[in-house]
Amino acid sequence: MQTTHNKKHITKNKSLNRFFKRLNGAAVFSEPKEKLTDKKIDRIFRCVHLSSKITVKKSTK
Amino acid sequence: MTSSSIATVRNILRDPLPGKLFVDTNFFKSMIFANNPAKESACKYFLKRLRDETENNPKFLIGFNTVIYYEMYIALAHHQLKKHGMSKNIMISDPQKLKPYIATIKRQYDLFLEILKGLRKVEISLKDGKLMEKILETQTNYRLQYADAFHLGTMFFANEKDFASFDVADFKQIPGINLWCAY
Repeated sequence: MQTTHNKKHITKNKSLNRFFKRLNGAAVFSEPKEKLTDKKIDRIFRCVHLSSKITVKKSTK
Repeated sequence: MTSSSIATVRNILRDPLPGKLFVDTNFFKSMIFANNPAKESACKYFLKRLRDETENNPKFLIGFNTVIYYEMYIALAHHQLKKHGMSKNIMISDPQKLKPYIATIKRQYDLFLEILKGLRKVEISLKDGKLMEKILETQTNYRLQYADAFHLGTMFFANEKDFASFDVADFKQIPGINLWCAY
């Protein structure tokens, strides 16, 4: 699957072709699978920081 | 030290981004652990910049070594231990104490994966012995910690020179690279 992906890209773009040739099979290329919307970014930060900040709040009291 | 023997520092929030940007794990760690509003807002802005560049420039990609996944797992586990007043050595001496936090670690790891899903990327693994050689050369030439050498050596292996890290101090002595940081 990934190889096909790489091949597809190689035929389109010469500089990426050279780039992947240099990497000699150690690389896997992937296009974005889902759009990172502003809403999603805000949600990611809100989710992680809700759980990360608990200690900070407790320790400052 | 002459200007040619140190890295060229570039601002990741302002300067035009390069075609290929190799990233250190600490960028993703910072997104998860940003513990002050300024850092959080810088991380958010940076992520939106990467997203916009990915959408507008079909040649733009981020590159990294697959060790990034392992480092995120370790960082998230350590974070939970620290948050609950335990030493990170518990991971080795008494790993059962991590059990109550598995769901949280998994959830945070999923968020990291969600960030990666939105980006065009090239993931480089140690399938090639030449990469290991390059990592060791990087570590010994520049006296780096092995984790830093993994990321930087991977970029050298790909023959690129744009490296993004929040640890400016660790990399600013490396000649010939463009060091992308947030300040």
